[in-house]
Amino acid sequence: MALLLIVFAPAAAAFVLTLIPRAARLAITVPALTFLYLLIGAPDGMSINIPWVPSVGISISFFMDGLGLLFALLISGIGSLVLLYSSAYFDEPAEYSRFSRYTLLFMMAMLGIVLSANLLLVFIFWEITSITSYLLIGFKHEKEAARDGARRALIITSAGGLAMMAGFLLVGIAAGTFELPEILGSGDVLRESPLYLPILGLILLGAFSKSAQWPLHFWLPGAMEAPTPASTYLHSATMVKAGIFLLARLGSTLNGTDVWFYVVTGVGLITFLYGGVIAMRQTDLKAILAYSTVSWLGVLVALQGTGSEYAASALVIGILAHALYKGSLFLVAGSIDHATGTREIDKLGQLARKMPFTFAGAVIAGVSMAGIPPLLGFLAKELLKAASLYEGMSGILATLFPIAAVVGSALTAAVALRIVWDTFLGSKAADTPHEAHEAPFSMWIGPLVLGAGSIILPFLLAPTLDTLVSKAVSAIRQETASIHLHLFEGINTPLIMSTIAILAGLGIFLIRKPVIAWLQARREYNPVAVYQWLFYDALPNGAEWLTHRLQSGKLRFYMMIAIAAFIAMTGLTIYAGQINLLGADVLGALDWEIVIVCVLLMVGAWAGIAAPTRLGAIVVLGIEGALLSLLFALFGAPDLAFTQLMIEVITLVLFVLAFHFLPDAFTTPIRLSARVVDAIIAAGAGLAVTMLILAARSNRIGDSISHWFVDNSVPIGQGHNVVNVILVDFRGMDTQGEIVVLIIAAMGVTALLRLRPHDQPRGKYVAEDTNQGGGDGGDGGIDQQHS
Amino acid sequence: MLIILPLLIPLAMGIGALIRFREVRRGVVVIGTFLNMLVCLTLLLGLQAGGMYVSQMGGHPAPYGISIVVDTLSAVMLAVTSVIAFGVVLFSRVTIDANRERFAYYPLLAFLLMGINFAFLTGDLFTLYVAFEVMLMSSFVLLTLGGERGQLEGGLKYVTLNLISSTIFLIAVGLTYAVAGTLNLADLSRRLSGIEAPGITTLLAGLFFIAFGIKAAIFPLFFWLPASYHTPPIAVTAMFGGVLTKVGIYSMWRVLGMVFPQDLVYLQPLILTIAALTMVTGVLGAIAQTEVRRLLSFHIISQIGYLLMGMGLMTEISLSGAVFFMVHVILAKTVLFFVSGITHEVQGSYYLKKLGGFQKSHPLVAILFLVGALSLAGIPPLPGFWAKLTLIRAGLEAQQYGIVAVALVVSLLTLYSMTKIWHEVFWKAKPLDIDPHPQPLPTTWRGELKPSPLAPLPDGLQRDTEGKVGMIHHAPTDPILRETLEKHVPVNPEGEGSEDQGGGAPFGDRIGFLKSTFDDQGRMGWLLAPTILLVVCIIVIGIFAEPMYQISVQAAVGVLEPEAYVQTVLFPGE
Repeated sequence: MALLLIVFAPAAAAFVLTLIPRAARLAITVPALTFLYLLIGAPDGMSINIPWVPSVGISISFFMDGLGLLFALLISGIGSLVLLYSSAYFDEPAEYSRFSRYTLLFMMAMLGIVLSANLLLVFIFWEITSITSYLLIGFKHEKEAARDGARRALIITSAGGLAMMAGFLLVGIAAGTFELPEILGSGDVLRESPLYLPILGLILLGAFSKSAQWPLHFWLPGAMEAPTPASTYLHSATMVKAGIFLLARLGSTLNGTDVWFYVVTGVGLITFLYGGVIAMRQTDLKAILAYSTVSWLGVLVALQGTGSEYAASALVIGILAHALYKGSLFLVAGSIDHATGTREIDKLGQLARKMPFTFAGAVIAGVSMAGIPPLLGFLAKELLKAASLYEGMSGILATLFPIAAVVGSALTAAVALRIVWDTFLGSKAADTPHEAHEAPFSMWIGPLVLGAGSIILPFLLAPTLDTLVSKAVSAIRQETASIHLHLFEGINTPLIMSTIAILAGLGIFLIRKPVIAWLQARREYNPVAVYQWLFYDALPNGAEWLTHRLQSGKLRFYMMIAIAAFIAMTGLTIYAGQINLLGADVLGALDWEIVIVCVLLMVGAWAGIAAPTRLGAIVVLGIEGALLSLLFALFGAPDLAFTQLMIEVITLVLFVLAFHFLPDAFTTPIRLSARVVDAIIAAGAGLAVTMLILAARSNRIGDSISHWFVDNSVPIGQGHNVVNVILVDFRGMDTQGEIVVLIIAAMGVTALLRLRPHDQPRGKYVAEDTNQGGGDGGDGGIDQQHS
Repeated sequence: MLIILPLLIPLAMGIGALIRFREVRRGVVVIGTFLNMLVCLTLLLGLQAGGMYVSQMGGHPAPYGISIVVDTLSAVMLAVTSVIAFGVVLFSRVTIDANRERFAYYPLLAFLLMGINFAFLTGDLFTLYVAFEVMLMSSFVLLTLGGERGQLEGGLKYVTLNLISSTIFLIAVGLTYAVAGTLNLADLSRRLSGIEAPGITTLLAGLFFIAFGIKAAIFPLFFWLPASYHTPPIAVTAMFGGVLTKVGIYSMWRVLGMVFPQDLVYLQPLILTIAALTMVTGVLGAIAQTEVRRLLSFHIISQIGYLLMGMGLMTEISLSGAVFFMVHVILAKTVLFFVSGITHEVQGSYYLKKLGGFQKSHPLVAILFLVGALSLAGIPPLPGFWAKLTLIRAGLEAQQYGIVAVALVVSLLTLYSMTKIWHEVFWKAKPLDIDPHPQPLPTTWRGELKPSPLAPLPDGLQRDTEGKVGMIHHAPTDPILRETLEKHVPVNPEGEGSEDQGGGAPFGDRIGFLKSTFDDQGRMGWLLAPTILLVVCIIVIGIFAEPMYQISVQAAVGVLEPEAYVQTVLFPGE
């Protein structure tokens, strides 16, 4: 019950906010209470399982283990600070309310991901985070950049999400369940399944896209169009870690293979270094933070390659430390933007005096990020290095991992120093649109609280962190673990590596100007270009090209395709089924009278085509109709023949009357090639119908029910004309339907004759094929209709 | 006798709506479609426990007379159609002009509903043909009612291609009678299913596939749909777009699935290929569009591909997914057409570039659109997600990875295409009402900071009382103009939005959308009510997916295992 409340309370709060927008300031109580409850009151091993759509294998089931607890604490804790922060960040109460709604919905989804005990439920919440993230990135939706950034993030994360959905479904097929506790116990089944590689690939794709791994990272810098509190919350502290979470959740089930190790570690390390380098060349404060986030997400992925206990502890502390310092720095960036009107680092400087509290928050976060002891960031980097020296690794990555760890840490340190120094200290004064001033309390308290966490936690390892880390590591590795962390373990290799990294970082920082200039002169090789090409060039243009070809607006082409499909289907199925066409005695049943009529019909058909004038053609058609009714008469259906003849006469008269208004000769010339194609199609259609009739005659399967009608016409229907009895009695309903058709046709004719738009005089119905993306119709004139 | 009511109510409604007085007509159709909805929902609920309703018309025994059968599949189709029909009638009230009403708009709508219901009710192949005739004729007249040039041109293409379909259908019916000697579906199923494919039954199945395929707008037979669906009034488009093509798919499931299952298995590669091509060409067509109705019309085609995929895989789970998809797509697509009708009503255009600013001015409409669009894109927990999940799962279980990949990619492209509407209509600011083919600014304007007080201003600019130059409304779409303006003219970034907030309470009106919504003498209410009705249906189905899923399974089983159908129709006593 408590779990349900934890997950869905934010959604309920969002709903209340929709109805009472003014209550936005109270929204913070929801995550704050959740955080406190998780911190002090939450019992171990809570779980709940309510069936939802059992046929699909999905239930509303949640459970709380160490991993879930770690993330839930982050989500609710940072969520509270972000909501507090944004109450001052947004000047307009309405905007604040809307932002709070979206954020609360996101919070629900995020809590859902980390607490779900059902794989498909995880996916549902996963998708909701994509959508809420989209709404938050596009929060300032009248800016085109915000819209584009939002769409980019949505497309990339949804693409990953769809892959992941397929992966989850395959897990379900292989493991026979979607319930996580059971799946976590069936790792060997999955690893030995032939579906293992597809499962792994698809799930990794989902996780990597969400956690902004190279080369899918490019949506994250674009997502910086979001209001800064959203960037803090989604794109630094929580949502981007959903992929990390998923790997941690499923790692014990899927890891242990070479593919896992090389792909996860490799991609993670590339992202780590790439993000660090690119962060150096950025000048927008948020872009720097975004790329350094990408970089650290790379570490968190790389750490999961081995599945060792070291790596798991490094992961847990890494997640925690990063959420604290990076969240803090994002909030600081937002305050600076809010106070000065710019985020360009080149225009900022010497803000420390004007924004002392913000500066304090930034310094703590920066020191932690740089990995300088004794803050939490230092511990995270120590553990990273220890994990990078894990002996269980093989191949080239065993050598590269420690090197990459040192280089990447150095870059992180340099970026951290640059952010703090060039913004708050530095030699040149700020040159900003607004005069800088300290942010209000609710905006600087956040960074300070997070900073306090970074400072205090390392000194409270035994009472607080050890239990949390032990629980989380146990959950990650699915083995009971008891971790005891120490800030200083004496002088060992990781410490030496950390020292080298910090010194190197300091070195890079000191020569940053030429380094940045050099980096900016290089090409970025940003995969975003591929995305831009695909969605802004290839896809729209390709779609338009294809649609123009297909939807050409020419009725003749459409008819040709339809009839050709008919011919092709007939021919192919007759061929494929080797259907006997001459099974019955077709020729033996021929009568010479019928042959004569048929020959005349064929001649008439040719004459109809060859007729030079409309009148000639219609007269020939009339004769054809008369011959047809003769044929009916010969087959012993005099009433049918009579009806046919009547219709022919009426049609002929009507046509002749109508032709009074049209030029007599056919005026539009038709090209010879078109005529040839038409002739082939026409002949093909005729041939197809002939073959169909032969096939039907030769392949009877059941006896006809027609004898029943003959037998029962008099006793039941009281009529001697069987056809009539069928029409009005046995199948009277069909006739009823056809009568309705006639009524409708009459209505249609009336409307066509008498109802026409006032601006459209008689005789102006000239078809025009002018349009984009498919040539049908103009704009339909419908746009003026309601004027 | 309940089961004949979905036929009689629309018929009576069609006749009743011919009465002269406008309010009487409207009353008749509102009450009529409402009753029809009650009846259809009752039918669906009555089948919860399984079984089916059968009635022999005229009391003639089964294979000889006409059987009316309502099994779960029919009941589902009837129910969802009845909801759409009710919504469309409400929506028609303010979107249909008096002239169209005078020329039998409502009777035509009623007869269309009758034709659709007829197709779902009948257990006889020839009656199905008659139902298609009723549908074709009434939809053609509805399409051209009004006589606008685009309507006539679209209607011509519509009717020509559909007549080809009817011809092929009729040929196929005739041949089926010649081969099997009966036209009762139950009887046909008994006689033909199980005959080894490929053979004469494959030939017949192929013909039905083409005939229904044209009706359902599959690749490459869909041309009539984008050619015509954007031409009539939006209520008509909503009805067509929601339901009409789905009758073709229903007929495929019913006829091909029940009578020719072995041929479906034989034709599987062809059907799956066509399903994939239908999805892809449909969604690409949508991406190429800049007019909302055309865009949505192409999406109809794309989604037909999913419905075809469900049939092509021919497993219980795939067909269940397809039934679920059918329900979802009918509701979602109608909602989207309704929303485009609302935006047209407010801003007078269907063109993306002329629309804008609805998120700010009509937040409720934005939510309605979002629900429909996200469901269409298959975002959980909306019904589109359940349907997609089930279909994908069926594909994976059948190891048809190709079609699964296509379905996933198309679902992503659908999302992309929905964001296009969302960005243009809801997110971007309402563009200035400027010339659709803007001339470049006069050169003096490009460089100069301050125009002379007497110089004529380009479109989109005005002087206020102090002689300052400002923009009318929002940022113009023309990039050159906008760039120039942003450089030289102080822009109020809030645009009209700040006016709406108007110095009062900080939240504007507490429920702002109601204010902006109902100040037009209730017109908006008639537009919103049906849209909200359908959106509520969507949300309810999404959250209570299990009952809907059970119904879908029951419907699918009814088609895949027709023994019960045959037994109930042919041998009712036993």
